[in-house]
Amino acid sequence: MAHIHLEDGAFSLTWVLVWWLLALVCIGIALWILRSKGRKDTGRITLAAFVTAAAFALFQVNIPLFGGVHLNLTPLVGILAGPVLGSLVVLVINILSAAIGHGGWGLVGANVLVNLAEVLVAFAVFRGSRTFLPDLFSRAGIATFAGLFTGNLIMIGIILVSGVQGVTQSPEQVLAGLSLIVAVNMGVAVIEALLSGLIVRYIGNVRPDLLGEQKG
Amino acid sequence: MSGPIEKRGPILFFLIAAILIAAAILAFQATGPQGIEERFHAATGLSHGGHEEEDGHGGDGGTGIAVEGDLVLYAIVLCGLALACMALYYHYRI
Repeated sequence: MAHIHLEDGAFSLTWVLVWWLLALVCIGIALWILRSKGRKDTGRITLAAFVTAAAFALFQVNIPLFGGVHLNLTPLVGILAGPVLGSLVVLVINILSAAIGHGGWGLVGANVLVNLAEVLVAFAVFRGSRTFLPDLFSRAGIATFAGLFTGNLIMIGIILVSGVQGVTQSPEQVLAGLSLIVAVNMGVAVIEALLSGLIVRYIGNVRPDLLGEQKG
Repeated sequence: MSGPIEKRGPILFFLIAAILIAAAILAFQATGPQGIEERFHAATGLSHGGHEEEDGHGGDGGTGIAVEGDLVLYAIVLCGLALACMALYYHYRI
């Protein structure tokens, strides 16, 4: 899904530092919010640990659809862990992914921003559409679509703003090429939305408190 | 009474899904079968395998070092991150 699959060296050092800095600011804000809360929500932290492991594992699985793609589960991270813990989750996933060669180290900052957008938008849509969409499956699915689409837009924005070193393509050509990637990604988002919808509906049935929902 | 409201979500979900699948099939026909990284290289204009093959001295992004594919550097960066995590862990008594 939305993840910048370019090697180290694709972005100039300046842009690598800019995206890392922005990502660290976001992580810093998340840590500050967590510390200012005082009381630790151990249940939510445990849930965040589980979704980190699940999302990291799924990140590495290449699905042979449309030539090969992978799922992110970042919208599900946003729905289950929330935006604050979710931002830490995406940092961990991206660092561990870079550690095994999935995306360059220099792109971790940019990829954290892409995935963070997915977490934030999915969380906001899931919580914000409660009255409009009472059904948990479709609400989680639509939140997943919204999150992944936003992540893809951020991905395009970051690549266009940074520029890729050593290529002669015009920004318009790069935009056209990336738009095709977004279209393919969003096709696979259907699988991710179905998966997220089913997981959220199951959790809603057995532990609605984990979703901030009332049972019944 | 709640029937139409309950159906609204699934109808919207499957409508979006149908549109996205149609768009993805059209995009796939335009790009052909490509892996994730191949598709990125084609979109950004990089030759497959990265532009390091073109200039012959590795893609260093102006830093003077090329981390991609260098196991020793990967190990060093990973150890550095692990040590940083340990330091933060003990400092904040997590």
